[in-house]
Formats: sequence, C-alpha cells, structure tokens
Amino acid sequence: MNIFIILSIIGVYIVALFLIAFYAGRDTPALTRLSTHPIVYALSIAVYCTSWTFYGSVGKAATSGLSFLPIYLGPTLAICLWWFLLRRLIRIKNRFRITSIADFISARYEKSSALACLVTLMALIGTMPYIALQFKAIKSTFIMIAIPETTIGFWISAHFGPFMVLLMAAFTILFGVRKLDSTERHRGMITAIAAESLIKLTAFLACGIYVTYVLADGFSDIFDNHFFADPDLAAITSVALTGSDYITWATLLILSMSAIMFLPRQFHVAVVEAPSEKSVLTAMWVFPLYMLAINIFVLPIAAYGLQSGLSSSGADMFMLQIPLLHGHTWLAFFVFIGGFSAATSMVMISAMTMSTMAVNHLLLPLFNMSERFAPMRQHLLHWRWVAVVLIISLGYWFETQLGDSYALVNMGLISFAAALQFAPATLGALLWKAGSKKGAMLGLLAGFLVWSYTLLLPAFIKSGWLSPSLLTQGPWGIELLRPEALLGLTALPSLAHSVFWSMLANISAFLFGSILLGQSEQESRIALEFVTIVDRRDRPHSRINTPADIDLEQKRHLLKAALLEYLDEETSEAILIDALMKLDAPDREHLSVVEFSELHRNIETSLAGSIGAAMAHRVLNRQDIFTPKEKQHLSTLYAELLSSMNVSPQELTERINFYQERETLLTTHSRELELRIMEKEREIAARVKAEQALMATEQKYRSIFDNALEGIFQLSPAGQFLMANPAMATILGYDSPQLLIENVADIRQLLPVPPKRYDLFMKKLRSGYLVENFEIQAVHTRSATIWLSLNARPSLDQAGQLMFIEGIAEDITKRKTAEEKLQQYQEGLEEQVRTRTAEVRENQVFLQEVLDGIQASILVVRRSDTVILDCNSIAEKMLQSSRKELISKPASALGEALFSNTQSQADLANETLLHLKDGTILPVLVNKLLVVYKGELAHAIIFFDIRERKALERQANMAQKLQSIGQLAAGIAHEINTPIQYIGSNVSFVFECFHKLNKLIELHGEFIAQTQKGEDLSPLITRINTLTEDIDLPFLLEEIPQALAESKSGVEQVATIVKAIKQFAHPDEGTIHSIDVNQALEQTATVSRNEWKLIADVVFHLDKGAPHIKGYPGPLNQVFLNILVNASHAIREKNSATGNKGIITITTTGREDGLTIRIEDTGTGIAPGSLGQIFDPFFTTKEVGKGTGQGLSISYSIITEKHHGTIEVESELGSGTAFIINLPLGEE
Amino acid sequence: MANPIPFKGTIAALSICCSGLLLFNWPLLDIPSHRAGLSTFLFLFVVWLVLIFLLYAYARKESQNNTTDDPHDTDGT
Repeated sequence: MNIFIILSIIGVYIVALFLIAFYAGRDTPALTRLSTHPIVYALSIAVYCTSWTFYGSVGKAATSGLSFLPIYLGPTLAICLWWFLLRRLIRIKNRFRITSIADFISARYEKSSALACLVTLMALIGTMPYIALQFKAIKSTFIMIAIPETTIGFWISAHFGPFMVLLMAAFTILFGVRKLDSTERHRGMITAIAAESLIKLTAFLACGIYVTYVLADGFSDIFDNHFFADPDLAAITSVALTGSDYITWATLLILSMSAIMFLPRQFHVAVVEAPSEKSVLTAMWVFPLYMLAINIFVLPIAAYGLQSGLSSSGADMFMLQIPLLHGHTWLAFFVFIGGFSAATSMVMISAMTMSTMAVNHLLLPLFNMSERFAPMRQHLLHWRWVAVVLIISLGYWFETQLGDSYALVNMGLISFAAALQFAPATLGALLWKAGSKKGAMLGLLAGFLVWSYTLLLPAFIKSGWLSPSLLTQGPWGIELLRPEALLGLTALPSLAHSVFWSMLANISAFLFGSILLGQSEQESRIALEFVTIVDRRDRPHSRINTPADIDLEQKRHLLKAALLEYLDEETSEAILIDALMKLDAPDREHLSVVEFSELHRNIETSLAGSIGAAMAHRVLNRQDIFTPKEKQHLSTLYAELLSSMNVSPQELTERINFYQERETLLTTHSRELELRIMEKEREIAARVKAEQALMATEQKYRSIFDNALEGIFQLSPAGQFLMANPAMATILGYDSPQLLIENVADIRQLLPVPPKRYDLFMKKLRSGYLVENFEIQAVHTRSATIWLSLNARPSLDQAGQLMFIEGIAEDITKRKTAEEKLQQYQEGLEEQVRTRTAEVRENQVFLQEVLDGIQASILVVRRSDTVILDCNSIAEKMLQSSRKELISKPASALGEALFSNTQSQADLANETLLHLKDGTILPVLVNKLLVVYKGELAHAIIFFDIRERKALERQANMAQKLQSIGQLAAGIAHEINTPIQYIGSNVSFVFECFHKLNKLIELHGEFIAQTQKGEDLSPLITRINTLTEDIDLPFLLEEIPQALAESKSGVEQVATIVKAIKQFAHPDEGTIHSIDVNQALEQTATVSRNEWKLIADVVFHLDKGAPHIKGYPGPLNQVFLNILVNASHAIREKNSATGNKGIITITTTGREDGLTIRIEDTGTGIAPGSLGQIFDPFFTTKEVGKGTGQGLSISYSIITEKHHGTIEVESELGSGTAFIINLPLGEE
Repeated sequence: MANPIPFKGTIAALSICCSGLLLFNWPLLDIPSHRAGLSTFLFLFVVWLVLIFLLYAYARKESQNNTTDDPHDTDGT
C-alpha cells in the first residue's frame, strides 16, 4: 500500500483521537456523562491488550497452541475479586489522593519516600522495555504494510519511529499531563484510550471473521479431519500434556492475575481513573467479555495461517500476512490500525503514569536534598512533560538498540513478573493491619533482587550481553547459584522458577519484616484506616473545646509558602480555601490548635494529589508550621485527655485499638442491621403491594359480580335466594337483587308446575355433582316464560350435607327461540335437499342414458397415479372388462398409447389403437379432459370406437384412388393405343411382306430343286425376276426392318407405361419401402402424361444425390399425381383461350435429414381467401362435378400423418402455384 | 430472598474465582485435553463465558444492594 495513503489515514485517525480526547475532556454534562460512563471505563482497562497480545496471541497460538489464553483467563479470575479489592483501592485513592501504585504503597507504609522510590525504579525497569516492544510492533508492521515508492517515501519509512515518538509525547502531554494534580481524572485521554480499545477489537474481529468465514467456510472447515490428521497442526488446539506445561500455564495465570491490577498502567486506569466505585461492577463483566471477544478468532487465524503454508516463525504477523496474501490490502491496513491503537494506547498511558511516578518519587526527593534545587520544585509540571518525552524516547531508543534480542521479545512476561512483586505489599496494605514499612521494603527488595537475578539476568545472557557460563555454571562456578536453577531447583520452567523464588523471598521478607520489626504508631493508624476503609464511615467530629488562639492569617502564610514551593499561586490558594471550607472556617481569623491540626491534614492530603503522599507529608512536616508552643499545647491536650481517662499511654493505645476494632465491628454490624432493615422495608413494601393487589383484585371481582351479564346467585337448599347479582334480578324481572331475595322465598314458585326438572337439578347437586348447562324454564314477573341455562356447584358441609348452591344463570330465551326457528328452517332445508336430491338423481339417470346413448366410453383416471376411479357401462363393454375389474386398476395397463400424457390439462381428438383382451386391435378417438372428481384432480378420458369411421375413410381413400386411376385410365389407354395402332399396322405390313417374300422364297426353292435336277432354269428365273419386281424387293428389305424397329419402340413405350402404372398403383400400401422420390416423380409424370402433354411441358430439376426415404410408395405417388393433375388443370384453365403451353417444374433438393419437393405450375393460381382451406376435406375451387375436394385433403393426411412431413402451398393469383413438400428420411 | 450482607457477596466472588481457578488448571483441564478436536478450546471458552455470566449476575446483585458510592470521591463525576 502506498506510504502516503497510509500516512494520510494514520494522520486522520490521530486527529480523530485528538478530537475525541478534546471534546470528552470538556465539562459539559453530556460529554462528562459519556466520558465517565462505566463502559468507557471498562474499555479503558482494555489497554491491557497491547500490541504484544494483539499480534503475539496468534504467534503464540501457532507455536504453543492454547498457551496464549492464560494471559486473558488470569485477569478474568482476578476480576472476580474486584468488588472486594479494587473498590477498596478506589476508596483509598479518593481519601488519600493517591496518584500511582508507588504512591499507594508509600502512603500505606508510613508515607515512605524510599519505598515509593524503590517501587518507581522497579516499575521503570519493567516498563521501559515494554514500551520498546510496542515501538517494535509499530515499526515492523508499518514496514510490512507500507510500500515506499519514492525517495521521500523511503525517508519517511526510516523516520516513522521518531515521528511517532513526537506524536505520542504531544498527545500524552496535552491530554494526560496538562495539570499537576495527578488524581484528577483525565477524561479526554481515557475516552481516547477506550476508543482505541474499540478499534483494536473491531480490527481483530474483522480479520477473524474474514479468515474464518470468507476465506474458509467456518470453524468446521478450518478444523476438518484433514487438519486433525496432521499432528503438528492438531497440537495447536490443545494444552500440551506434560507437567511442566501445566506449571507454565498456572504461572501465566498467576502473572496475569496480578498484572491486571499491579502493572502501573493498569493500576492507573483501574484505580486512579475510576469514575466511581460502581463503575467497577460494570467493568467486572464488560472487560472479560472484551477479552473473550478478542480471543475467539485467535486459533482459527493461527490454524489457517499454518495451513496456508506460512511459517510459524513469523506467526506474529499472520494477521497482516493473510489478508495481504489474498490481496485484501485494506483489511490488512485496518488490522495495522488495530495494532497501532494497541501499541499507542499502552505507550501513552504508561508514559503518563511513569512520568508522575518518576517526578514525584525520584526527582522531587533529589530536589529536596538541597536548597539549590528549590527553584526547580516550582516547575513540576514541566518536569513531567520532560519525563513523558524522555520515557517515550527512551522506549524508542531501547527498541533501536535491543531490536530482536531475547530480552525484548520476552519483555511482556518479564514485566508481568515485575508487577507481581507489588502484589504482597499491595494486598498486605489492603488486608493486613500488621504489615509494616520495613516488611514491605524488605519484601519488595528481596522480590526485586530475585526477579532480577532469576529472570532479567538470564534474559540478558540469552540476548548475548553476558557470558552464558553464568547460566550453566553459576557465578564463580557455584552451581547452586545458577540463575535458572537456584539452589539446585531444576524441576520448574524458567518463568515458574523465577516466580516461585521471587514470591517466596518477597512474601517471606514481608511477613518476617512486618512481624519481627513491627510498625510505628502513625503506620499503625494508617494501616487501620486502609484495612477498614470500606467499613469506615465519616462521622461528625466531636470538637474539643480549646481556645481559638492561633492566628489564621499567619498560618496561612506559612502553609502557602510551603505549597508555593511546588505549586503556583492560584493552585496553592485554591487548596487553602478548599481546606478551610471543609473546616467550615473560611472567614475566621483564629483557630484552635485542634482545628489547625485538621486544616493541616486536609492541606497535606490535597498536596499529595500533586506530589505524592510521601513528599506532601515530608513537606508539610518539615516546615516550621507548628510552633513549639502549639506542639506543646497539642501534647498537653492529649495528655489531659489521657489523664482524664485515667489510663496510661500504653493502655490508651490498647483501648484505642480495642475501640477501633470495636468500631469496625459495630460499623459492620450496623451495616448488616441497615441492610436487614432495608430487607424488612422491602418485605413490608412487598406486603403492602400484595394487600393493594388483593384489594384491587377484590374490587375487580366485585365489579365483575355487579356488572356481569350472566346472573350470579347463591341458593339455600330450600330454594331461597341468599345472594344474587343485578343481572340475576334483571333476568327474572326484578328491579334489584334485594327485591328478588325478598320476594322469592322458594325458587320453585318461578318454575312451571310440576317442577320436575328442578327436582332433577337439586338431586344432582345434593349428590355433590356439578351441574353444567342445565336448561330450565322459568316464569318472568311479566308472566312470560323464559329459558334459563344454569351452571351450579353445591357447597357441602363436612357431613356431606348441602349448605348452599352457587351458580350462574344465563337467559337463553333468545337462543331457544332461535333454536326453534333453526329447527324449522332445518326441516324446510331437509325437504329442499330431498327434492334436489331426487332432481339430481333424475339428472344423473338422464345423463347416464345420454352417455350410454352416445356410445362413448368414459374412464375417470386419477391424475397423480393414473388409477381408474370410475367408468361407464360402454367402457366396460368396449374394454371387455367389468367395472369391478377396471376400478383401482392402473390405466396404463389398458394401453400406454391411450393413457399417455395424462398430466396434461386437456388432450382432444387423438386417434390411437387399443389392444383388447381377445387380441382385437380397436381404433379409438380419445378426448381427455381435466376434471375434479370427488375432490381429486382427475382426467375424464372419453373414447369412441372409430372402426366404422376408419372403414369409411379407407373406402373414401380407395374411391379417391380409383377416381385418380379412372381419370388416368382414358389417358393411359390413349397412350397405349397409339403405339398399339402403329405396332398393328407394322405387323400387318410385315405380314404382307412376309407373304410376298414367302412366294419369292418358294420360287427360289424351286430354283434350287431344278438346279439340282439340272432342268432348264430360264423360265423359273424369269418368274423370279418378275416376282421380284412385282413385290419391289428392295423396298421391302428397307421398310421391314424400320417397321419392326418402330414396333419394338412401341412395345417398349407400352411396357414403360405399364410399368409406371404398376409402380403407381403400388399394391403394398401397408408396408414401408425405400423410395427413390426422383423416380417416383418421373413415373407419376409418365402415368399422367396424357393429362399434361398437350397443355404443358414438364421440366425436371432433380437432385440426383437426393437420399431415398422410407415411406409408403402408393400413397406418395397419389400425392404427386394429385398435384400434377391439379397443376395441369390450372394451366389448362388459364391457357384455354390462347392454347399456349404452360410449364410444370418439378424440383427436388436433398438434405441431410430428408428432401424437399417443389412442384410449381404457371396456372391460374389460388385466391388468397381460399389458400387456408385447400387442404380441408371437400373443399374445391373447381366447377361442380369436376373435383371432389378430397384430393389435397388426402394428400395432406398422407404427407403429415403417414410420412410425418409437411406440405405447404405458395400461390399468386394469375401467376401460378407451388406445392412444397418436405419429407424426412423416415424410419423402418 | 437472598441475604444482602456484604460478606456473602465476598464469598460469592471468591467462589466464582476459585471455581475458575479449579476449572482452568490441572487436573480438570487435563480431561478435555485428552479428547480429540476442539474439545479443550470449547471447554475453555464455554467455562469463560459461564464465568462472565456469573460475574454479570454478581455485579447486578451488588449494584442493587449498594446504592451509595464513596463519600470521599471529590472529583465531582
């Protein structure tokens, strides 16, 4: 991706963060609500997820499977205790104006500057490389995603780190270190951090969803059988099964549990920046949910990366590599922004926290060491800015120097282990009153030293900065001092080893130091306050009446002077006024020594917010604020109190302790009592609510009773109304229930006499049965009879005797009247139905008769499965099966042809053949109609026996054929007659010649005989010569061969005609033959020659290569003949006046799938209006008696039905007509 | 009705924490580890989700029982 585009978007993103921080930091109610919202607080805690976890989780998953998870599971477990622990920390922070974890530890342990200094140093050592790690992530991902294309691009790419340093320092100073009071919440900064947390989560989820559901087809697709077949890949889905892995797992859990609270930045966001104690309750489930969400796709991404062949050594970058590999640069860039957010938020919060700690606990003690540094103290805010820049720059410098060293790569866990060292002192501060400054100092020192020796030192050695022999042989060759096998402990992995020894040293030193070395009185007082912080309640101070003899103005000057050493004029004045307001003494001139002591304490607490508790304590106690006289006065006051109580100081301390403990117990007890009272109040409120609900219910039921439309009553066994509602009275005609009860002593007086049904009603009730819908007649007050429907139940006493009856009565008079009318109506209706049924039956009989009369067979066949549902008697006869045999039989069994295509809606006038039981083949005409038969879709198949029609058709065909032959017969006779005539003449001539020649041959015979006898030949020769002359022998010898040749030609001509006739009238109509259509056309032309020879010339354009077709020769010849004859007739009609000859052109064209025949004439043509009808039966354009109108109709049938071809006509009136016949090759 | 005494709340929080520690460690974690497929992954995430739900329920309960906040919070937020 182009570097300038990336830089532009990063710029926009940072500007957006600036705007968020700027607006969220403003003091409008809506923005304050937003920035202090518990969700924003919970998201700010997600600064825990740095770039190390953002990218590193996938890397860890790819190499070590699920071992990336404890880093997130540990915080979830620690968070379970937050309401117990974090709440205390927040309350202490508010009470003592705590600024950091160092300040907290220092405040608890006698406000020790040394302790704060130690904690700050440890935190700095642990944090600086961690910041470097974030820079490393930013740089390496930037290089991966940004492609510098120009010299400027390369320059920017090389200087991206310093640029980021400046940007982050500016942001931190602007929104994190704007004021000196560090306890003030940095709402803008925190809201920006929360926004970054949201961005990094969205980026991670986007990448996860892309990999899991776009590149793959879900979890099951990535983790399929193929995946688990590879043991290396399958290993990443599990926790390693060896014992040491479980130890490392548990160690990581412990480390992350402490890190979420004791890493300086986490302490800052969770404690110092907490908007309220109750926000913790929201963070307790929102933050674990955040961690779960950011981890859900870690494993699929790692698995997909490995499956794609990416190297596990670079698995940290899978999140970027996978989208880049598939060309999704923008997604990769979004992921980069997520990682960038993770890194920058960590760096900024850490810089903010560490700058406060460094200035308050390292720099200020230095400034206090000499008065020469006094002017420096007034620029604390500027020093913090310098510290921010230094810390971020140092972090970046570390990155450039340490690079890929082992120490830096593993710095995340090393930092976690450093933070763990704060756990004993911090938890001890909260929970253990006896924990002392010395114990904490010893514990922290011991833990820190062991941590440095067992974890930091091996990291340096593995980075190559120190000799490896230290690891293998120990210092000075003492193996027992080997850093990773201290005292010979080799059973633990290095991390667990360090945690074990450092915690052992830390906790032991803390316990022994506290117990053995004890604590001071002041420490003891603070310890009690810390431990009982949640139970402690502010109560009004009982003021000791002492004279107000301290000049407030003078003391104000002194206090202000002390404050001005570190703060500006305005802030110092504000702190003073605030402290006086708390004391309720803003306008007083003098204070008592007790009041002044309280004022002093309030100011110290306020100052602690800026420079830390330890330094504030030191500053305000170092000054000569209390004069010796005042100190003496205070001492005297305490001594008097002591003497008035008649106890020794020791006893007083014990009593104070006793009363403090007692107070704590009483406070706890009173809290319990308060809670119980709250519970009781809730119970009472619930009871009142229940009573109100009961009253409301009673009112509701009363309303129902009074307003019900049904009569509700209560009757005594004697039949007297005990209770009735208004509706009951109205039903029986009374104005009110009271009147009904008073006037009706026995219900029987309202019933018809004798009340038999009432007796039945009572009998059932006395037996204890319910009576339902009991209908009974009663008499209305207006003497009208009404109908009642009673539902009643008996109420029996313990002896089973009837006490009273409760019931509901409904006036059903209208219903009864309606029922009677309905009954009458039903009877009328039934009569109508009977009449209509009879009519229908008659219609059915009529229909049946008609159907039987038309001799149509009808079958009703279900559409879905073609099962016969019904049939008529004609069908039974025709199909030679009884109705019983036909019903439920599959229709297909009667013949596929008949019942095929039964799914179609309607199929009309299809002819087919039916094979009957006796073997007869029956031609039928089938009509199928879609009908609804008894609620089912069915086909009504109506078929007719068309044997007679077929026979008639055959006859008609034959007649037409005979007509054609008849028509041809005269022509053919004429055609044969002509050759026969000249054959006859020639034969007669030859016969005569033969006689003449015979006479000559006889003379020659005599000549031969006489020659043999030796007789005189002269007379005979004379006779021969005479005869030769007479018979004109030369003539004969010339003419006889000609006559014979003519005769032969004539015979051949006749033979051709006869052959054509024979071919034309092909006797075998029923079988298919291979037909040479060209030959058929020529023969047909020959046969019909007499029809056209005088009228037209027939011109052939025959395609000699046209294929032979399979068909029926006789019918086809008939078609050609019909067309030729029609053509000659049309030409004759046109040319009758002129006598000109027309032309009939016969053309054939072969195709792959058949051939086309075009017979074209130059006759009259056909009028356009008649063109559509020429193939209709009995349609003719010829004069009456000259055409039957059957020829073309039969031709059409022969071509389309018998040969499955087409026949078309083109005609122009006056010009001629062309018939185009397309014939397929046909099948055998 | 549940007893709203704070001590019980602490016990509940400790119970959730200890249950999590138990479930996220050897030997219970070893049970799904011996099964093929994603069983360990699913086990960890399901337990995690259950813990979050318990924390949510706990937070709701404590929120109802504690209506007051820190009296020393002077930040005005």
